[in-house]
Amino acid sequence: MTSQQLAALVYPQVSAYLGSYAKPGGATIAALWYYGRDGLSQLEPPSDWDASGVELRIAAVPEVTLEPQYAQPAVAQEFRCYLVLHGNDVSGLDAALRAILRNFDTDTPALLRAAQDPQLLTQYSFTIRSS
Amino acid sequence: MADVQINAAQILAALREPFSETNELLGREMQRQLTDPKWAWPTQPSPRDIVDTGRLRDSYQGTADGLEYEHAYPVRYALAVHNGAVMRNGSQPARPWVKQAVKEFDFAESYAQLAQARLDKL
Repeated sequence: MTSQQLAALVYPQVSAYLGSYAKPGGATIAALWYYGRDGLSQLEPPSDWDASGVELRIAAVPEVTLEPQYAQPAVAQEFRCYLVLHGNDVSGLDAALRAILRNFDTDTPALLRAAQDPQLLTQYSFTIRSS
Repeated sequence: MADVQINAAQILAALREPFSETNELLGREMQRQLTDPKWAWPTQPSPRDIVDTGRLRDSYQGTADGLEYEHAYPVRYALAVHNGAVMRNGSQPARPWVKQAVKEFDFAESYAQLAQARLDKL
């Protein structure tokens, strides 16, 4: 599965809660970003895009893992994801996370709060597994 | 016919200590991962280790409590370093040194060897 294929499955579940990127000129698109598609230099959306609301970032390149099995190990992919809050509406962030947890195989989400560090945005980080 | 006597308390005691010892080895593997210069970073030098000030590395605590063992890095930013984080001034990539240690360290095999050595002495 590619990150685009994963996003096609995830997006319908979270679209009601996602915020947007405002591009220069006023056009807006859903706040969904595949990060790292061109390596670490592409971790961020373009600096002149203004994010608001809940943003979902999905790793463009999954980590491939071997899951122990009785006979042969199974190959699985893990996509690291971040649900990031730009603003103060935590309820949308939590609702988006719940929608993902209901529908996908994830590890335990970790919450980072903006109050911990002035440079930090409130966010959940987690991985979505696919076989 | 040989007389076989089993002392369950002795066996349990012999199995308990290797659990802590194996966790100590796992803790060392976590520290090795943290200091291994293999983690990609957006600026040079890359790859690099995860040691900037040494505070994260030095914060490691491994604590045995009966049949539980806790590995901890009790510094405020440990989770952001491990999982990566989106910041106002740019993102930092995940460098999951604990997860990697758990993946690469064969806990069951290590425990089996240490436990067998103890059991052989009974």
